[in-house]
Amino acid sequence: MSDENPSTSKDPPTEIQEEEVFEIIDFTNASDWEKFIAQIDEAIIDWHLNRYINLPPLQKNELTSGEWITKSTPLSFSNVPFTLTLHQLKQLENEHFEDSTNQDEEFQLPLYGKDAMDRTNDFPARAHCLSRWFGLRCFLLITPDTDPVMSKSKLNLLRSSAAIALNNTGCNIPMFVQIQEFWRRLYVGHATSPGIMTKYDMVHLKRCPVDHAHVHGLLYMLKAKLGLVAMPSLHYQVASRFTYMLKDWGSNGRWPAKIPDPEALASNFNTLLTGCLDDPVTELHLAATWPYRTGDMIIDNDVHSDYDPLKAPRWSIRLLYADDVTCLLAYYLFEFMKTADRRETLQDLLHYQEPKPEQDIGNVLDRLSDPNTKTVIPIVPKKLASGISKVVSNPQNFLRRGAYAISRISKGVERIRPDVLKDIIKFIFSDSEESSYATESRDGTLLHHKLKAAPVGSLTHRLAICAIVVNLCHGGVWALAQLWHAFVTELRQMLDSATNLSAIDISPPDLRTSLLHQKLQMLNCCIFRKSERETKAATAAAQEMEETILEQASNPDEVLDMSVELTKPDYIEDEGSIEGNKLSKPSEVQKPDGLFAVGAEAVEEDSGWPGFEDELEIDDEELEVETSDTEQHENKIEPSATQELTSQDTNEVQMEKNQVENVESSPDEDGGGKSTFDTDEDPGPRQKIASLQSESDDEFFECEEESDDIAVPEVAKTKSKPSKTDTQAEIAANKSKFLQQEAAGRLNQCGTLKLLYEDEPLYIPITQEHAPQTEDQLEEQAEVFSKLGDTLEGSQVRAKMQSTSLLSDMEAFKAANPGCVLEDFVRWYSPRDFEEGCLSPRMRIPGNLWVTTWSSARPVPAHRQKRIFDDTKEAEKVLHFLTNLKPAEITQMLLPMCVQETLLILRASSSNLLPCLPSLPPLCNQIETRASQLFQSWKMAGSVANQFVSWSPDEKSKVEDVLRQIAFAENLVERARSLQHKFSSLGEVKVVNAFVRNLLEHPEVELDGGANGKQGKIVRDFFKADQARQHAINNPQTNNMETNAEGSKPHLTTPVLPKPAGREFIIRTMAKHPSRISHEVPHRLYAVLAQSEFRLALSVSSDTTFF
Amino acid sequence: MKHEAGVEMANSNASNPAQKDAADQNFDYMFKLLIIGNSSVGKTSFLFRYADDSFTSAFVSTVGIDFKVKTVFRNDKRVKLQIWDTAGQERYRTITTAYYRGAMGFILMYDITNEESFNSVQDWSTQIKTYSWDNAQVTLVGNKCDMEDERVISTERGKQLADQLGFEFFETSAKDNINVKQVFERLVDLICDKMSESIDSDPTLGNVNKGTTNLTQDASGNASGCSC
Repeated sequence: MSDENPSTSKDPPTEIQEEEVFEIIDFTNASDWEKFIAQIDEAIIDWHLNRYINLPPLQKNELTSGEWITKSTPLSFSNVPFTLTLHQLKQLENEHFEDSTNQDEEFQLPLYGKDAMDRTNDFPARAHCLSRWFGLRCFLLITPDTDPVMSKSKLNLLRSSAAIALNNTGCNIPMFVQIQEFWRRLYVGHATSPGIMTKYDMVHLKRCPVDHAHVHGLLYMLKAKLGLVAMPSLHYQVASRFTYMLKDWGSNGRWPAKIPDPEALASNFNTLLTGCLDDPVTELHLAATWPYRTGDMIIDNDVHSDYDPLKAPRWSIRLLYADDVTCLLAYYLFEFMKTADRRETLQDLLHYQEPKPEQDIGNVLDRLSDPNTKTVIPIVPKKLASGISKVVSNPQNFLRRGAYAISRISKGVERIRPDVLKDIIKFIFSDSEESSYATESRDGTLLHHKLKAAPVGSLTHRLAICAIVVNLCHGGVWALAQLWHAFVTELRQMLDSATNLSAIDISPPDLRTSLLHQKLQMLNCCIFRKSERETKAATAAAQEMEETILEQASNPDEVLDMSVELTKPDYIEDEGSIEGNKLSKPSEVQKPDGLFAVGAEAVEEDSGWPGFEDELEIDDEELEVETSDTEQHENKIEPSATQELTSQDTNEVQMEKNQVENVESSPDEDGGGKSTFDTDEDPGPRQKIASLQSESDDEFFECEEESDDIAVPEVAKTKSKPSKTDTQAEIAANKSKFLQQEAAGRLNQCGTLKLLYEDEPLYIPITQEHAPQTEDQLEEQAEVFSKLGDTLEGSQVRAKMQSTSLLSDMEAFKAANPGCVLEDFVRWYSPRDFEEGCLSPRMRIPGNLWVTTWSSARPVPAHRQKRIFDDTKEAEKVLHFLTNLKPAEITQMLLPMCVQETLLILRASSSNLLPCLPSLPPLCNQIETRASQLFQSWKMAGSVANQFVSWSPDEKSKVEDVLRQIAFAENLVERARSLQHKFSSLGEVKVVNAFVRNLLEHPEVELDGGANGKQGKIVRDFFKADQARQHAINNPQTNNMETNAEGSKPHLTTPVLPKPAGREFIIRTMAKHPSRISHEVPHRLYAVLAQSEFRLALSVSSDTTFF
Repeated sequence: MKHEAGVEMANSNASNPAQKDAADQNFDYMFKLLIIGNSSVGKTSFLFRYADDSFTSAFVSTVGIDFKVKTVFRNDKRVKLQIWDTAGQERYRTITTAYYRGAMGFILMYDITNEESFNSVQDWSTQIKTYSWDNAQVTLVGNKCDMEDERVISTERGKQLADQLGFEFFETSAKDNINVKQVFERLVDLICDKMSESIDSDPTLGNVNKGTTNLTQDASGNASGCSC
């Protein structure tokens, strides 16, 4: 001790004041070593450890159950970096530090000495190895950051540094230095306290020396170390623990009891199957513990041992789990994720003829990205299950093989067989049976809104499930491509035949759901409108037939010739039907040279910026309405033709219109274009075309009625150049004409209101619904709006752009209320703007949009107005969007629904497993929150509508995080199920669950009644069965084995337990050291004897007062 | 005339992007706010008072949706507020609710001189709950408090309803510039708080991972403890 006292000749550490300590670091000309020590001093002071610390004794198992705190700080010894770490068990209560002022009273053991002798925390189930080996609740540790400390001199230098620093600061916490290679976990240490000093040393060998392979040998060694060999009277306490390992659970314990059937997996498209492919509970470690035996009572030497594990006072078990066992839910998802990295387009995959080489590449990629490749998952097919216990195989190939088996695919390895594909498509599109189960998220909102997915049981949801199953079992990305192609083709057919999609509600896109779901809702809206139109047209057809025939006869030729020359816009060429409406643009109406202008326009628009197109359309719609009086004639003659629409047809109409226009209207730049046509033009050719294109009719909201009033075009014609300045006067002027008009398109009376200037009730008109929008369209519109800028002009343009439906409503209102004035309209539409018999001031602002729109509105009932929502075009947009998705993008689109499904399944399991796995619901909540944040913030759509945006790397890693959490939760579920199965013979379900919960929540569980309790019996049976199996396998060598067996279980006729995998001993004694006149000080030897490791951890104390 | 509008629109559209891009970089955060409430409660006036500090007794009744931009400073950060003004008429509900998603804050406005506009607050609140993000902040505003003579909704009633709905509450006058700035400032503060809150709460998600590793550590701890 004296040689280690620092040269600074400090007073005893207990009396050190902090000020003095600062003086120590305040020198300038110090050596590296001194600087190093100073750094340690500083850290100790920073952490307030520079005093005598005493704490109450440890509670039972406190080392395991308590909370450990660590603090660390970097050190440097002449530029070699080290880290000093404090490991400390958090003292929840009764924390008190005692200055050892009562030092004189009596010799007192320091805290570390008491802890080392304390038997309540032997063999902690979970603790830092130093705590475990030396029985400490608080220690400091110096570890080299880079190169291990290998040389003896360096070791000594570090060790003395520690000793000096402890003495300098008066800290009574042991300090260790890690030496040798890191993996060996070798530490030496030092502790000092008034009157006592302790040295910690370790021995680490690969093999156990025969002389010390038993208690007897270890005792001898300790005695020798203490120089007390000749003292038989010494009292030794020995705690022992033997550990036995079980790696094969046998047929009774094996989980899953039944391996998931690949065929079931491949043919189930309803939901995802659960289960694991291998047991997540890999090993059982049984520890037989003798907490206290006195050294002289133990017989354990090289010839005989009285340790009988079956009679050990304490049995405890711990379980080892495999985190990487393949569980099906995660398996589906991770396989699906692989597709998200593919670059191919749908076409690449669909037209790929030889999948062989590609498949190899795919497999290589798989191996790189597959989180499960490390594990080789054994699968036992049903047929083989009887024989060999484990057939090692790649489950993926196996499952695929299984899938092929059912679909009996003979050629094209990566393909779904046509009839299977057909069945899948049929299933996806089958009627919903409303079989959705509770889909509420934890806070009551709908889960599919939270995750931005789709309702369970919906078309979108089914599609996602089928896709993920197909991807796993029917050929990966190729099969996915096939499925998608078939899906979109089917959608096209549904649209063409105007059949509504089943399992999707006919409502505007729900912006809270997945973009894909919105798109499908949009398509369904389109189909609905279309079918409605067609139904009405069909009923009207009979009436109109006669007229049609008459008019058709008049001039059939003219336009048909031209149609051939027109360019067909290449908007989804291969799909046949093309939206014709795109051609009806305002500019086109104005172009003086009809034929070429139209052709050029068509091409231009298709190649143009799509976002811009919408803006134009809005304006276009307004214009179209103005010309609609002409078109009404078109409409009138339009029967419900069944022919397919072609772009030519539409072009013809437009062309023809242009020509007529060019002839009849003056080519006035502004007004000419929208001036009305002569309604008396020959309708013959148009009507013929119209009869061919009823489906493509984009001009009218509905077309179920005949044109019943000749008055309308007349009125409109006079109104075609409205005077902005004096609208009131104009209305008055037109009033008489309105009166002649027959009311049309009334919905119902607006309360008891009457028109201001007529003795007629005020009617609410039938109005056009607003155009539904998907979120990408909405976003694009918002962007267009915001690009117009924060100016008055911008504001006016925005208002103008949005006035379409206002105009439509006004026209409908006028049609429903002949003789009405703006005041009437406002009373219905915006009642608060009609005050005390007149319009509010804001409505009277000259030239405001309401007034101008009113003045330009003509009485046209909704059914004869231009459609605000062009369902034909919108439907094409959706199909175009879907067709152009790459498989990777498809995967990304479908993922929210898949995550939703897995989450629902996990939640269902969690309610079943609640008694033994109460931590699962919170975990599910966390997954839900995380997935919700991810999917909510994920912008699938670009700023341009119909543009899909793939994951960013950040998003991708977040997705992977979510999937990993799902995998973990699933693994927990399987652990619980596996344990329930293994310990099912414990008795009542309640008892089993309680035990399983105990096992899952604690690293180690003591068995009630030790080896002879119910739990112990099950464990014994597992070992027994395993021993029997081993015995059978090694039958020829049985005799040999028994003679070789260690002495630990010589009397057992049937060896219930195998050879222990490890034996641990803690030998403690209080002995006078270093001399006979010293105080009794604590000594402790921890030893672990395993097959390939022999480790001793020794702490020997010396009395520093009486040497 | 209509066609003119089209041309004009195209022009402003073509010239704007560059301008816009330059302007876009002049902020650290952008908050999207939405002003909703019945027709004629003074939403547009309120917005103009805040953004332009101007007041006109009559603004044209908003058609559909419009917006104004104002940049404010919060903790040395430039916060660009894009404030969307909506048409209050029933007929525009479907159009305006589509804009609820993505709005971080709402100003729900009624007119203290109009009972009906107050009675509709509940409906508007339901709409917000249905269509907006979970974290959206809402401030209830009783406007036109300068018209004390015509008041029909007492401050107390407004306050009570706001408490009941869990909203902040202000009475304001766009005309006399009472509390207008305060409403926006408070709303921005609330949004900022919520943002930092959600950042703080993220670590709880991290805890899951900790749990995961703990459990795996268990396994490895086991191995080291016993089989060594």
